[in-house]
Formats: sequence, structure tokens, C-alpha cells
Amino acid sequence: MNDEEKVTNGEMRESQVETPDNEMSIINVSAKGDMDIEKEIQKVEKQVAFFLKIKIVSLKLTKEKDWVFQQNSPYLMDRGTENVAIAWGIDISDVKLKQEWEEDNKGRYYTYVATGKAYSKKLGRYVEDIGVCSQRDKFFGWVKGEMKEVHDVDMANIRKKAVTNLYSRLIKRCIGLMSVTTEDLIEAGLDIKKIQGIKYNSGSQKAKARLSAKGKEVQQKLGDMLLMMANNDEKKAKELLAQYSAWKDDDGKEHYADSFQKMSEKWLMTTYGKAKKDFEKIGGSEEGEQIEMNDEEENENND
Amino acid sequence: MIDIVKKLDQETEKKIRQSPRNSNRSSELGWWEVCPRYLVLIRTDLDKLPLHDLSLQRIFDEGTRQERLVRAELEEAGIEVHNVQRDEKWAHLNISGHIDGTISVDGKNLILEIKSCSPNVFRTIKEFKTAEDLRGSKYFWIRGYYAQMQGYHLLFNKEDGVILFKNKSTGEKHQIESHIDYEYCEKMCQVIEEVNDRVERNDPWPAKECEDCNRCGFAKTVCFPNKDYGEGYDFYSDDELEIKLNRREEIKAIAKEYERIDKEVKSHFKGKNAVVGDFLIESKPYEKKSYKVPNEIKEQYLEIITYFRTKIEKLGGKLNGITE
Repeated sequence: MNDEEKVTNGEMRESQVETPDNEMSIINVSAKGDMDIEKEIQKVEKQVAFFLKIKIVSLKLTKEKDWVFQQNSPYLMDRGTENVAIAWGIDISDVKLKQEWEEDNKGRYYTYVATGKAYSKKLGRYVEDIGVCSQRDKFFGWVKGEMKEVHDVDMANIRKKAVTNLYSRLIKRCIGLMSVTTEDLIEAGLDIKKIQGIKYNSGSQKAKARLSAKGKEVQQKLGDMLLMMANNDEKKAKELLAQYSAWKDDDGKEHYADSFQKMSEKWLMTTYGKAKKDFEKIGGSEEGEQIEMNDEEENENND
Repeated sequence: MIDIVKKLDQETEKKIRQSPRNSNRSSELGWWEVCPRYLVLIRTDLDKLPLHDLSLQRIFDEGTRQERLVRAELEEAGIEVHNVQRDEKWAHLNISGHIDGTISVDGKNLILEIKSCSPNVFRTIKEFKTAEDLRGSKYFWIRGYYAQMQGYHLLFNKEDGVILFKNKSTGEKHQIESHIDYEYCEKMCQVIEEVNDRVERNDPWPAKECEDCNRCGFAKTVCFPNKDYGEGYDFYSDDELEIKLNRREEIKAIAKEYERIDKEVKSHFKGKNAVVGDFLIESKPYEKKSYKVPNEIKEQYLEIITYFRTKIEKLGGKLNGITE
């Protein structure tokens, strides 16, 4: 029932308001005659315009610090999501959690799947959705590039993350914030230069100026990759950078970088190689696709 | 060079774990009033309580170190601390606890509880003078200190105690006396009795949303309370109101400047009459009636009136034509 909406009398009907790109196809246009179609089109146009207004108003209710950029796409973090939920009177209910076991060539592992409903009292909109998190979660399921044994993974954190992801998805879907673009943020008056992720990559302008085009590209990719591996935690991404950039000189003295500023192009390349290896192990790819996730989940960083 | 910070963090990280709960710990008794279900779950479903992170473990460790420092300070000041970290268990209700120590003051033997706080928390705590003030706090975790002390009074069979708060940043101290509250303990023990029974049957109370769910690790792993974000905002499409709000925004800075200068000038000429350039300034005394009423009388007439604090904040960009 993911793409459906419940009206107040309890009947179900298809969603009228979703993102224009990927949800237009589900807007129901009945073909009773030319006049009807014209009316329906006008109605749909009006609804799309209204949807866009809701989206922009919602974005205006957030602040730059509520967002991060990952792989050049803006992602609204929990704090910002909650502020928007308050504005639209969201009511989340009927949350359930179940554990599912899977097996692949790396062995057996579990995934928690949370399901629930959300209703916006202001928009009269109703959605249902799921939130998932697996034992192989990038943050909780791995240590130093190695997958943790099942008993070493804190199951409670996996459960919690599945439910947290569900809450976030329910709110975003209910309001229509599933695919926000940088242009949307600009239109809502947010200063994207103040958003984490952009700052992370652009904080090393001097070093970037010394880099070749390839070097700049690698730096950008490395930054995105580390942020993803650190679940958008900038501090943890810096720790990962220190970890992957570490090397010992002939005297056995260890060197590492905590920012891109002092990194040479060669150093960047080596670090990128090491990080990429681990990134791929945990299911990441530069194209933004992840194993065990469908496209929608990937967009929402639902892990 | 050795990365000292990393090394220290690695050591701290090793201590992140949950130890099994076979009893009702005094430090957690505060939940009895808010959500007794927690007291059942902590014993039956501990594996579903997410582990805390490194930052919190650092705070726990710092608390332990501060406790040692405070004890040393007390000894230096001639106040001997006995029964340091003494454990006690009340088998009948399965309540356990260990105290930071006991001290003897004016022939009385007091339970000592040491709490180190951040400057912000300390500022809040300093406003409390009695244990009853702690009990009436709007913060659940502060109310929990009251329950914890009551647990100790019962466990160690001592009627009096003291909580010594320390500001971690400045070293400043603040003390609050604690005395056994039989009525409170009676109610608490009744609930604890039911907690034990429900643990035995593995039958926690049904989940019920409360304002402290957001502080509870079980909320998103076991209970899943409904989350109602309220009625939502009213969205207006009123040109006149918007014009007023925009104008208000435009003159805000000037109004602030006016207030600042007005205050400065008036305070300069307080009690004086003067001419400055083209301005005549007169400052005349006037009288206002004031009543000094003792607090105990004031309390009798206390009533809570609800007022509204209205905050107006300009959102990013321009909000126009929100509604159809």
C-alpha cells in the first residue's frame, strides 16, 4: 500500500501528491470523455502545483545544519525531519518490527524490517512504509574493513536504526520530501554553501588548486565515500580519512591526514584505493548503488 | 609519535557494555513513576537496549574519576568517608545499590552520593535547595536522584543522606540533604513488587507513550510508541498580515537601536533635568506601592496562569501564496 493514500472515511485511493518525477505516473486520470480528461488534467496540474508549494514550504522550515550532501544529493537528517513533521501535524502509528534471515556467499545474516503508518493532519495524507537495517550495516556491522561476527554486532542498534529509518521515511513520504534537489534548497532560500558535505569537500580549496583534474575528481569521490561510510558524521569521516591515509616512513614514523589540505595527489590516490576497497566490501559503489537495497532505499540512505 | 588520543579512546571503548540486571538498581528506580515497564524490560530484554557510545562512556568514566577527587577533597577537609562503594541488596524486593560512601556529621551517619555535572546542569541543580525540589523537577533524570536516594535509605537502613554536586568545570559544590520519605517509598515498593512479578512472568506492562520515551533506549527497539507531532501549524495566505510581518522585519533593527539609545540616555539623566541641544530632558521621581509578603503567605495565593511567548522568525527565501 506504499503509494496509496487513505481518505478520512477510511477508503483507499491512489496518492494524489507525490514527487513530480517519479510519482506522476501514479496519478489516476479516468478516461470518461474529453471534458472529463481536460478537467482531470487541470485538477492534476493544480495538485502538482500545490504539491510543489508544500515541498518548498517544508524546506523553508529546515535550516542548513539539518542537511548533509551525500554524493552531491541533499539528505535531510532526523532533526530537520522532526521539525517538518511538527509543522504538518504528522502522527506515526502501528509500528512493527520483524527480523528476517538471509544467506549469501558470505554467510547467514539478519535484517530488521520496521513497518508503520503516518498521517498528516494538515494535509489529510496517509502513507505506509518500511525501514530496514541489516546486521551488515556500514556503521554497526563492520570494524576495520572486516565484517563483524553476528554475536559481535549490537543487535539493539540494528533494531533501533531500522525504526529510525522508518520514522524518517514515513515523514518524508507523507510530506513529499523523498527526492529533494539542490535547486529545491536554493529556491527555499537555504544557503547550500553552509551545508555539510559541500563544506567538507570545498574546505581544501588550496590543495584542490594544486591537483590535476583527475586528482580533484578523486578528492571529491573520496570525500563522498568517507561521508557515506561514516553515515554522514563528519567527525567520523575525518577519523576514517586518518585511518586510510595512514602510512609509515623509513624511520617507522606514522603519518596521516585529517583533512585534504595537506594531501598530495599521490597520497590522495593511495588513500582512495584503500578506502574504496573497504567501501566495496560493505556494498557501496561509486554509482550510488548498494547491494541489498533497491533504488528508493538508496536515495533515502536507508540502512 | 604515539597517537595518545586514539589510544585513550580505544581503552574507553573497551568499557562500553551492558552488565546483566538481576535486580532493580537504585539508580534506575526513578522509572517507577514514569514508566515501570522500563524496569521490567531492563531485566527481561536487556539485549534490546542499544549500547551507549564513546562520548557517553567518556562521561561515565569522568564521573568515576570526579567521585574519587571529591572523596579526596572531603578527606582533606577532615570529613572522613566510610563504606566507599559498599553494595547492598534487599532480597525481599530485589532492590540493589552501591553507595559512594557514608560520612559522619554532628553525630549523624549520612549516606553520601557524589554527582559531578557540566556547568549547565550545575546551574540548574543550584536552583534546587531541598530533595523535594529535586522530586518536583520537570526533568525526569533529576527526579531520578530523589528515587535513587530513597532506594539507598531503604537499602542501608539510614534515614538521612546528602547529595554533593560538583561543577566539573569550576570545582564549585552544592549540597542537597535527603531524608527518607516513607509515603513515597511505600508507593514505590508497591510498584517494584509488581515489577518483580511481571519479570517472573515475562509480562511487561503494555507500552504507553510518555514524554520521556525520547530518552529511553527501548522506545525504538521494543515499545514503538505512537509518535504524534501535534496538530501542525496553521498556514495563512493573508496579504495584509504578510505586509505587516515584512514591515516588522524591516524596522526590527531600528527599533532595537531606539530601545538601546533610549535606555542609555534615560539612565544618564536619571534624577536630573537638563537641556541638550534642541532637547529638554526632565526626570522626576514618582512612587509605586510595593508589598513585601513573606514567602509562606505568597505560597497560599499561588496560582498558575498560562501565558504565551510568541516568537517570530523569518524563514529562508520568500513565503508567498502557501495555500490555494
